[in-house]
Amino acid sequence: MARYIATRLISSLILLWIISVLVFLLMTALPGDPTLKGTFEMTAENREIVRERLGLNDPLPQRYFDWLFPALQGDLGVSLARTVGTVSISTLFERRIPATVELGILSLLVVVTVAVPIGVLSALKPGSKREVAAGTAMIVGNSIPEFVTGIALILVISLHFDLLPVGGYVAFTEDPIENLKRMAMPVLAISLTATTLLMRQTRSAMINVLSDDYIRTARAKGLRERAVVVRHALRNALIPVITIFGFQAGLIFSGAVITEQVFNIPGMGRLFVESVVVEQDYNVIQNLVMFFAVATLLVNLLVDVSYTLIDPRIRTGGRSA
Amino acid sequence: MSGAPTPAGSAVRPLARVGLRERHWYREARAIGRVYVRNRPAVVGAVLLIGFGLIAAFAPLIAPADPYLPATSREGVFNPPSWDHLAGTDHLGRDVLSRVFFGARIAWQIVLVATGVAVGLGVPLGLLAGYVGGKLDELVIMRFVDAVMMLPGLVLILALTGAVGPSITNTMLIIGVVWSPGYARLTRGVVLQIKQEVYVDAARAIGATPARIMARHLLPNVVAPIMVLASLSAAGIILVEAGLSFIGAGVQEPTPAWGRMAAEANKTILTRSAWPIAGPAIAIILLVMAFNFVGDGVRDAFDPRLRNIR
Repeated sequence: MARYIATRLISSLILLWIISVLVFLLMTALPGDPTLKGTFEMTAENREIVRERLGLNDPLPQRYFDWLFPALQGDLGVSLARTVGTVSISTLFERRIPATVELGILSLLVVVTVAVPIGVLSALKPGSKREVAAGTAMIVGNSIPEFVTGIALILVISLHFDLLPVGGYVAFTEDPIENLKRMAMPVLAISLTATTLLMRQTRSAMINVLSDDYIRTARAKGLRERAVVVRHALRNALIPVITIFGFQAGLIFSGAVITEQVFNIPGMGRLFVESVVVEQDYNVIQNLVMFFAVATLLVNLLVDVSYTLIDPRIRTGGRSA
Repeated sequence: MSGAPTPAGSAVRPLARVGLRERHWYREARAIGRVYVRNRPAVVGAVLLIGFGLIAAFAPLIAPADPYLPATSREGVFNPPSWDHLAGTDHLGRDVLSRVFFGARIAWQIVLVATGVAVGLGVPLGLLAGYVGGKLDELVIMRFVDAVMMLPGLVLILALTGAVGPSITNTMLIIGVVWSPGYARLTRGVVLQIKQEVYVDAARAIGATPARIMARHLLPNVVAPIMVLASLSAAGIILVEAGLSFIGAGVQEPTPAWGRMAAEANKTILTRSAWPIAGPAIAIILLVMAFNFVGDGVRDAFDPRLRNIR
């Protein structure tokens, strides 16, 4: 098992390294000059001074390693758009990360706790009419963009019933209740699409498994239905479900970028949008991509670990136990 | 993929002219059509798509007003739906329904161009990776594909937008680039299977160049799965574009892209009126739903296992 996790970890790290090279090349090779994107115009001489100070005149490999090595130690460099004074990206990130991480974790939790039980229950009695209706409902749920769900929630829950605040962020350490109140609607908006997708996967995986021979055996030996479903069927159905769950990490992070915009949450997604649309800050964008890559890989690593917990075949590395 | 290999690429020419009804592709298309029309949501989806297509094509003729024309007085802005403005007016007093109609053009344009770019980049890459194989495949193309596919789609799109700046052209191209690895991976998978077939060996034996084998013998086998993937991913493209335009990193004002219209309307939902957001929001949901239903239907229709079920 340790070996399996280790190989997954190493391949994740290689993937991260490839992404870091690609992102670096993208941000440097494209036309345009960060010193031209500032809020005021600089003379050619001043630009040259700024370029020299920021290390933009160094050769490419040196620039790459000048970014990589400090980044590995937690120093992500300075913001380029904010050339007046120095704004450390690490400080910028420290302030923005908690909201997005909380949003991501809560959404993943909601998706799992809602999608898996409903998916399982709907698989137990597959009637053809009901199946079509459920499938159709899931496609409809899948067709609503996060920002529409978010705005609809604001209109109904905040504006009409006045139950929750319309947005903003309060740190959990400051006021846990207020924090959760403000997180509730964004989390719902992010989770809708991912939930319908996972529900569909759980359902079809369960239907597949329930027709297997060992389920008939389990029933024949007199196990209660509950034990058959939970211990025999669900455990086997979970493997494809977990795989899909890994893919959904990306969906949830994409959703967070948009939802943070709708609910005015000062997280990494909002910083991303500001850096792309308003400031075109290459250095920040480059580090933001790495943040989302690391976050997605972490979820996938979690998925790999849970494989080993559920499936003894993976735990023993394919050897017969 | 689907039963017998398509003869479209084979070197053998029919001796006599074969009637239309006996042609392989004709029978194949009939079988696919029969499975498709059995799926009711897919038929509804197709009707919706045709509807949106007609709206996009004839927007200037059927739009009740000029989509760019602002109101001339304060009474003209934030109107709720009425007989004059069926979907109300926005913050500048422009007719929302007309803007939704013209927005259908933007949506179709983005789906078609982005899918074209994705297929144009991904399929050759997948052919190359699958047929040439070896180090090029393992170490270069597939690593690249893995890296791109691992990142959340919107994150990658935003990063690329940050590099080249937001505009409608850039948005279409970027979505195409980000969607292309999926096509590369799919094509590679099909090629790896087909490569083993005897007729590929035969073609090589009579001296066909790799380029000819890829174009004449491998490519035709990829067409059906590509069509399925294209129809399944159209919904995602619409959603991503809408989200991108909503956060300001896609199509820009005053172009009536639905996502941008929703964003403009969102600025004033708490202070003025929520009506202007209804039109674009409903349009996005309907079109995405239509593409989702059609995508599901097309996938099932191309699945030969479903042919003999009545």
